[in-house]
Amino acid sequence: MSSEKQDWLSAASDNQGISAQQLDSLLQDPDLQQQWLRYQMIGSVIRKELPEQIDTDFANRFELLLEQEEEHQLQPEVQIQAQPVMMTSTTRWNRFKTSANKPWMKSVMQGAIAASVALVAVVGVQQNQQSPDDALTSPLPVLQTRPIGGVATPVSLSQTTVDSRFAAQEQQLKVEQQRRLQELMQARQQQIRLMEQTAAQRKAAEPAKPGVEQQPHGN
Amino acid sequence: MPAFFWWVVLLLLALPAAASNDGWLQFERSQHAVRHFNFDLTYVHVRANQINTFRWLHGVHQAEGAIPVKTELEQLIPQDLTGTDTFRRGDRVYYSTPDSPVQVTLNHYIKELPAILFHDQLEIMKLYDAVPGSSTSLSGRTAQLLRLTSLASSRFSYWLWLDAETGFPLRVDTVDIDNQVLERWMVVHLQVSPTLPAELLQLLTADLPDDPLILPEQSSQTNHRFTLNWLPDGYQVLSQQLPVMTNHGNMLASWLLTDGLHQISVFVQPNAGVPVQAYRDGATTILVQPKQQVDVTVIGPLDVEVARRLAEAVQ
Repeated sequence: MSSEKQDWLSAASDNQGISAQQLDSLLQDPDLQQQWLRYQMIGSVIRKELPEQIDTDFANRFELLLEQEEEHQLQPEVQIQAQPVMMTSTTRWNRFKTSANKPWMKSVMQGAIAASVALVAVVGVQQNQQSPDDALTSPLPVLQTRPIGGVATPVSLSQTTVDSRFAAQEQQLKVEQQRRLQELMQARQQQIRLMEQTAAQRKAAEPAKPGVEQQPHGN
Repeated sequence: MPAFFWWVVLLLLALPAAASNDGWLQFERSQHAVRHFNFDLTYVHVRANQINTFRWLHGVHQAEGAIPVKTELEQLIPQDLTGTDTFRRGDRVYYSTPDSPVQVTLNHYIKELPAILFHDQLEIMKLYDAVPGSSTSLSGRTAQLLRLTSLASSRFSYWLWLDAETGFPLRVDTVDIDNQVLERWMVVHLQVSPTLPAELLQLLTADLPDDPLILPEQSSQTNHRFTLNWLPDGYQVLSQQLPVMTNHGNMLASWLLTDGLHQISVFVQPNAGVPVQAYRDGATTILVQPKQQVDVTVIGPLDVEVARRLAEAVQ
């Protein structure tokens, strides 16, 4: 083994350039390879890159392992899953797709479609029956508190033109009447508010104490 | 796979059939909701010529201790008119008006709220049939229509829209026999919370009189001059009459009739020289009928014809 040879090998192990010729000789000569390993080892020691325990046989053992490994046949995938979304239900979907063309499946599907149509018809009819309600839910007609059935006699316009004093009197009466009704409405409200209490009081059969007046309350 | 399809079809077809049985269950659920939820809501009460807005707070307070005592707290605040603030603590309802003392009454619910939501369901079942309807969208929620159809034609029916999720009543319409809406109660804002609304905490400790005023017995002779010899179907005279106070005009006689859910008032006053008059305030009919020397006024949720017949029955 000449020293020139070792020189370039040393330089190459220090990441210097290496010619194609030199590379060829390295690949062919086992001695040079042994030397290459030694140089690399020396370099690693100098750079303090070595692990605590050096396993120099790692490469050999790995080679052995590779030899023991069975041969694998790589084949291109037959089916490309175009949509990742379908991945989860692929098998069921495929089963469905394959069975969909069978005659029994066709008849079932036809039945299902017919049933859906019937269902839509039923729902539709119910919706239609609903429509009068919708008419009612539209805004309420604005009614004044008004006489029903024409039983009340309205103040006639002709009367006001003929005798305005009479109309004023009529108006006065109307206001008076409104006030009286208002009072009765309040009395009724009070009656309802006190309904439960009266019942309870009667049940308890308490002696009545006179003189406590309830005042009607306005809204 | 085919079995699965038929299941779906069968299920969809079976749904309406199942729904028709649970009308009263839905109703029970909504009655439970107004009693047991903590909520803060705003509703509008729509009648023919007026709309009133109220805020309604409700909560259940559970006292700490060995025996948990639950107290219902409730407040009703008019939003668009100065008026009576109404509170409820347990079975006491307080009416607070700006210029008079707080009135204490014994009531297990606030009478100004729709009675149908609070009244004993068994009593209501005697008067109505519950028919579930379709579902619609109300205030951004899904609502299920429930029709309480009156068994007697003289009584008005109720249409309730209940929140599909919670069962809470979102709308109550009172309709006549022709399905004309007479009165509408509708929630426009609803907030249900896990805890008592903060405003009601004050009410829990507020110093309010506890005893309702003892009511004076009606002097028994007042009604003796007059009798009622006919009553509308299902109604009966409440055994004890309350004295009716009016600032204006004498009250010769008065009756309060009830069918368990509704009330009809009949008043007899001296003749004031007015013609026959009939008015309607929402679902309430007001009829003034002059007789020989008296005016009979009938106020209640009934037809004009029935009201007239009742007025005629005063002798």
